[in-house]
Parts: sequence; structure tokens; C-alpha cells
Amino acid sequence: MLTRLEGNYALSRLTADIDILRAANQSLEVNPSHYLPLELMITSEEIHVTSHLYKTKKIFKR
Amino acid sequence: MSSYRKPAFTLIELLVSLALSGVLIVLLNSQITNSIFTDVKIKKQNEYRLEIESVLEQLNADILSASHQPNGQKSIKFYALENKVRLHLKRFGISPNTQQLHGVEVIWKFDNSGITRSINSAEGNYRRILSSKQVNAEIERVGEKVIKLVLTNQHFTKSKLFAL
Repeated sequence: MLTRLEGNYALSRLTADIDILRAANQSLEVNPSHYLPLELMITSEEIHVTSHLYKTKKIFKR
Repeated sequence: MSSYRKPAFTLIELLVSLALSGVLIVLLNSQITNSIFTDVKIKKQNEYRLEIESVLEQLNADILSASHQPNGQKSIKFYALENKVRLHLKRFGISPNTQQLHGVEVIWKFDNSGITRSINSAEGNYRRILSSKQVNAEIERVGEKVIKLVLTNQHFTKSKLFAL
């Protein structure tokens, strides 16, 4: 339960961080260890949230 | 006269079984105690991490509502020194007494004693300890108008970007 709550916070933080980087025209460089318990898979084109906490995978285009 | 003895355990067998039971109880007890301690420890760590997430949300709300200076920049100042960070920002708030809008200064402190948020206004000062555990805080500049606050503890590292 706590892990799921923390995951929700981390996802909202990640989304806000990506919005800020986009608004500032910065490259979408994120450190996956800062968003635990989310599991991030970063490719050259996308950032995938592959955490088992979410049924739907979240994808952010880079 | 016939001698009939009821089948039973000997004294030595009883003593051996008692000794074995004692050993088993001691082993089980220590295992259970360890697992309870570990469980409590993990729960406390989870609660603390959640506390930090909530603190970052609150800080984000403060920064989003910071008032703007005449040059268009938000009135936010960061001071970082040796794993300690102080943040001063000005924003508007509604007075609980008069229900009117007035300017307040919000000061965030991240240091060895934890995380505190203070509000200074004409009506008085208010200070709240949001976390009393030691946290290392650092500021990294990501872009011209973007900074990253990195909070580190022995169990986790969390960061949050802020647009100035």
C-alpha cells in the first residue's frame, strides 16, 4: 500500500519533471534511481515506466 | 501373579524431548522477533520515503505559487552549502484571521536536523518541522531557468526539478 502510494507520488514527480524539461527545451535526461519504486526503462526515443505497480505502461516520448 | 507395565516414555526420553522443544522454541522466537523488527524497520523506511515525496509536493506547490518580480522572474532564492539547502520565496497567502490576501515569505531548510518550513508574515511567524531525520540536500543547475533539488539519505535518493 505504502509502496503504491510512493509510486503514485514518484510518477507525478516524473511527469512534472519531464514537463519542466520540455518547457525549458532541455534534453529529457532522468536518473531512474531517483524515481524508485518506479522502474524506468530509458531508450534513445522513449522513457517507459515498467513498474509492476501499474497495469498500463506509461510512455514518455523523448 | 502377573506383572503388567503400561508402555510409557522413560525419564531420559522425556528430558531429551523437553530439551529439543526448548531449543526449537528459542530458535523460533528469535526468528519471529527478527522478522518483526525487520518488518517495522521496512515500514518506517517506506513511511519516511513517502514523507519526503509529500514534502517535495508541498515544495512544488510553494514554488508554483511564488510571486513574480518586476523582471518577470519568480522571487525565489536558493542557498546551498555543504549538503544543506535553504530556499526563500515570496508568495501571497490568505490570512486566517482577516481572510484577506497578504504577502508572506516562505523559508525552507534542508539540513542535518531535517526539513523545516517557516512562514513569516506581518501577522506572525509560523514554523513547522516536516521531517526530523537527517537528509543531505544539493542543488544542481540543469538549465538557465531550471534547477534540480537532490535529497539523499542512506536508503534513497530523490530529486525534483523546479522551473524558476
